[in-house]
Amino acid sequence: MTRTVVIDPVTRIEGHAKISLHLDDQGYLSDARFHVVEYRGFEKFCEGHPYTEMAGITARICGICPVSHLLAAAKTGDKLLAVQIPAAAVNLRRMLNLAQICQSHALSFFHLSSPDFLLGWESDPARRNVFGLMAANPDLARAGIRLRQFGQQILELLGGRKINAAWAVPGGVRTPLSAEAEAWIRERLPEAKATVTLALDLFKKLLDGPLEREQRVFGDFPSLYMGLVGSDGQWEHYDGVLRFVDSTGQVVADGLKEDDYHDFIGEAVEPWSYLKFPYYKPLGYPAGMYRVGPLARLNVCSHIGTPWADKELADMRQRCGAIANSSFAYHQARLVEIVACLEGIEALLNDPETHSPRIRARAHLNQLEAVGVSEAPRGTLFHHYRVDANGLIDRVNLIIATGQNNLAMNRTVAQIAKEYIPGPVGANASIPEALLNRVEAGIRCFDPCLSCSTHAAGQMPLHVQLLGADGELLTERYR
Amino acid sequence: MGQALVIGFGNSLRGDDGVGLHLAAIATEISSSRVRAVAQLTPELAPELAAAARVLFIDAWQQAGATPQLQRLEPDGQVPAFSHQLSPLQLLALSSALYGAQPIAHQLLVPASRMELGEGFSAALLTQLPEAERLLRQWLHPGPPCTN
Repeated sequence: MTRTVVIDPVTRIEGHAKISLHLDDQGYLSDARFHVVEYRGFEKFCEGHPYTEMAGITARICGICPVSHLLAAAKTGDKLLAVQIPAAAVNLRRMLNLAQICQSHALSFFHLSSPDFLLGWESDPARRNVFGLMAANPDLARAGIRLRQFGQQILELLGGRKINAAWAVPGGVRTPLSAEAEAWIRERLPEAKATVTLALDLFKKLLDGPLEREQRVFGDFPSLYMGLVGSDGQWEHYDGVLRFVDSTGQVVADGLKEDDYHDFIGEAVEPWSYLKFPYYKPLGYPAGMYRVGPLARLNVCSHIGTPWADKELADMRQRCGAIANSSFAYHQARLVEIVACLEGIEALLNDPETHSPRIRARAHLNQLEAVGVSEAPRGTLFHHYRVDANGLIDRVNLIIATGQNNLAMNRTVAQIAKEYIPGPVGANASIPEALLNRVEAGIRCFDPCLSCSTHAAGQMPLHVQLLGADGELLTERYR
Repeated sequence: MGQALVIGFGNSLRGDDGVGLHLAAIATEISSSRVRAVAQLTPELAPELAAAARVLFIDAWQQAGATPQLQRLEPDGQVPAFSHQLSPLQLLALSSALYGAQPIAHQLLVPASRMELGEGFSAALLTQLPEAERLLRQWLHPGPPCTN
């Protein structure tokens, strides 16, 4: 008799999802599925709106990564206008994206994931959150909030309080960097650097000790990786070309343009999830599984291009090999990327081009179809618009980072479950706490944000079901 | 003593869910209080709470047949699990635990009936807006202390 364990919904991720673990006739785990259970229909909603509104509209999809959609929409708009935007606008958009990645990674590491690392997998789930972290290490909790605040404040200094009001627009940006904003950023940079130093030191000690097993079983499997790279293979987050590498570091495809994404990315659907399953087309589905996001970006690049970040990348490669194949390495990759962001922001402040008043190219609609791409904190984000002669959207396709990690998230959950349910599960067996904690943490490696495709459903208690092959409920747990 | 802080939150692309942002915009126009309009409550708001003397959270409320409510928030020490977003009580607890300060807190809840994807408010919410605005003004410009 086959049975299914369902974890529904998953806590401390954005949106609404559940996990089911499928057992075979002998009670051994055979499959795992990460379900996204609410449909958002956002692409359909965009139809009929002017392309000039897309940056403002898509930025309101959710409060977690508004900047990512803002930039992808603005870049798509640049191409509809057929303009080359001013260098200062490029620099300011880059700074915006770096600040966004910094604050998003800070939230993921300090507040969502570090309670798992620091309080222990077996600790009381009611305490294994940022409040437990505050009790255990208040300085770290406060520093994490300050780092998140640093990134968030840069977003506000550049785009204003209402970042959704589309500071980045087709052709450039609306306002330059003020002297006050520059001064504030420069003043706070040292503290931000000190915080990530603290986090890196702490996390590396944990990797060398209590987290050794998690590195092996939290999604350690071969897959492809995709991300933007610069012209010399450098780490990229805004421009560049797309590169795929395999789990050995072999470059599978390089110099790919976002305009041709249909040639190399397919989008499969499954009846049990509303989230699409993108895959690398030449390898087919599901063999074309690939990962995106901080881990993928570090795996596809040759180097980062700033001294401290390159040093940290070298350290990570020494630990994990030239290619890090464990999803658990997403956590270290986030810290390395925070370093890259801080150094990148500083370099942009020091670039005279950033302070030019020429920040926007103006033009009328010159193309009726365009694809824009940028690296969101969670991975590569594509916006594809087709407009009519009046500039009204008649088709939108968004390929979001969390969707692209969908196959890998499923695989990660399955690997963890097989590790923590090594033998057959009897009909009356309880669902081990250790499994629940780690399966959830496995998903959190990817820091998934489901709001792009689903409605953020608010509080998400954990619901676990063990079901028989015929759908009979054998046991369930809530917390 | 810190100033008053208003935090309206929600998603203006989900119909009535955007009412918190709408009322935050009104608060900006009619008062000198510090006003935040955000998609959701996140940890970096905790220091702002700690610096405020009193805070008002404004949110949509999925409560059929209700009328707008101005309620005192009394942290109960319970800390449920959370995702990227926090509840007002969690944010107050975070502020208290990290910075040792907790403002007097209220929440203005506005009954919402249409939260599907789309802009603009439902007819039902529009009929509730005048009362919600009255309660907002009452909080911003208090006479006798609010006790409910």
